[in-house]
Amino acid sequence: MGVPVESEILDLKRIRNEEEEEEEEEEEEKLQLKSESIRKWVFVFQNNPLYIQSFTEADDALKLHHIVHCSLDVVDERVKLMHHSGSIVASGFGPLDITLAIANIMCFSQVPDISFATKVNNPKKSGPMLNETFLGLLYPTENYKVYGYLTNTKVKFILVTTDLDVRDVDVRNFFRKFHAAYVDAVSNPFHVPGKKITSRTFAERVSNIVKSFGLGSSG
Amino acid sequence: MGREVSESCVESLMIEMVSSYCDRFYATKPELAARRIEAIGYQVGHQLSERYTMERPRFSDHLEAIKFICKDFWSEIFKKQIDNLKTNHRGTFVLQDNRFRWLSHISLDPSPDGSDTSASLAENKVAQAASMHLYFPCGIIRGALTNLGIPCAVSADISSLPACKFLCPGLFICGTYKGLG
Amino acid sequence: MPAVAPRSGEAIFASAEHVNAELFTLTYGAIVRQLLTDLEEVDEVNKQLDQMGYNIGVRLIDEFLAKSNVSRCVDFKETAEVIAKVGFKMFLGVTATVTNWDAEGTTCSLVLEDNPLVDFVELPDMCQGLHYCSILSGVIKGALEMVSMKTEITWIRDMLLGDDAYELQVKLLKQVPEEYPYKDDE
Repeated sequence: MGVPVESEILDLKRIRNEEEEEEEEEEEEKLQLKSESIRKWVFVFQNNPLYIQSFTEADDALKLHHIVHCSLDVVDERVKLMHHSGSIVASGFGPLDITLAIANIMCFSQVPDISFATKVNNPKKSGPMLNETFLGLLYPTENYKVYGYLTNTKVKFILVTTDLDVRDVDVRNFFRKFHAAYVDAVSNPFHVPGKKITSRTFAERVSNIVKSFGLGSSG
Repeated sequence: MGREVSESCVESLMIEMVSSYCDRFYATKPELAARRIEAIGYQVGHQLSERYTMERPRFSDHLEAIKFICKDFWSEIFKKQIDNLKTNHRGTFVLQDNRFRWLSHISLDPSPDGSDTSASLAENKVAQAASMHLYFPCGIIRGALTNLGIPCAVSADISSLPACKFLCPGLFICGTYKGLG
Repeated sequence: MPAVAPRSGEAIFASAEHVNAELFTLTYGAIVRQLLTDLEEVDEVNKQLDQMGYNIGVRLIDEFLAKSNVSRCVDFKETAEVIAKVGFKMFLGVTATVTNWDAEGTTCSLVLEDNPLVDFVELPDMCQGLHYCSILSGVIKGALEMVSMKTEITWIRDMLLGDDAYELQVKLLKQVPEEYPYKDDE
């Protein structure tokens, strides 16, 4: 079905200001995407918004912002639950010189179970769903479905869609392709980590990924 | 994507980068040169970690991330894994590579019957040159770990060429980390 | 094209040690970015990249001659073909085409459509005038000088600046007699 995709850029200025205020924070990059009817979407990176693109004609940016804020919290909560043991929060250890002091007197032990001979790459081995990048449905609202994805490098992708019949496999597939596009975009030597992605190639690629949403797993 | 280039491309680029910074741009300021070389490595490590973790589940703790650096990440770059990984269980890790590829072009050439002094002098000189070359891989490791949520400082130490140890005291040094270059 | 060289670029590339091009591409990108930060002037960056390339070319020529079994090229025409078909292939895994010869046979263009240096690269607006791949022209110049050919190399087209290919114009300035030991700068 050839529903044309309309695109518009959301209010980037406001988000840029937010970004400047939060520059000191650890890089938490978040992205959202929403669909209106079947093929209309919005992308937003939150906290440190990296990229925003709307594929909708509807004027519901505010509402989306709200949804996205909530869903980012949900992502954080989920991840905390998953790794209740080892959250990545800097502990209160002191400055550089302490480390150096420790470095001199420390005795090292071999890291156990580091079997270099074989590759232990099997993701299924240590909790299959637990650490998956795909977080699944974060929460449903009456009009939207919100999906989350968290990369190893703490980048959050959020997908908001009004298509309530969206299939999990399509969303997974979408995130996988989107992730690849994201990785290429941040491989540009002139991209500054934590700053907004301005690449035209990326925008084009994302728009193609959105267009092909649900159209089979290839491409 | 699978594209490949000849190894000499990477090697000559690295040698030339180091010598440009050490001998031309900052000939009188080796610390500055070192910092720039490290920053270049940092960016590369940051980007590579993004690429190489793409199709894998998230790491549940620091050790898992460090192991990833030792195994998969190292293999992608050097076609071999780190030979030995040690930790003091207090946030410092020592990664040891017994045949560090990027140092293989720096050859120690001790004359078999030369006097002790000249040999150690030459050794010293080689070690100095080598240490400049080590800022780049140190930056790569720091960039990769930082991007994986482990802000850290990384230093390297050569005991005997071409073996190489990377010291990654992690976690404590978050305060010193602030973005690129 | 196989006639120009005893060993084809493909064969040499296949037998050489390879690495992941990503490492190369990203390293080069990080160097360019760092140079822009440190040197500030785009022209100066072009110059320094060219210089780095020159130094690399001076060193790479030995490996090239050893691996390719290329003996002295008869003329500049043959040399250009060897660079395009063997040199590029052997190191970067891509080939260039040689076109736009002038009547005297001293100026030609090397055209590259595929180039591992620029994967992922998009120039920001403030980099107008940057010839991102300047290192390539330097390498060619440096290498040719080691085989007694003094050249001048100009960028004609650049895909990062919106063109449809990379085009390097190579102009032979003079061919120094072989025994003359050419002195590189310093």
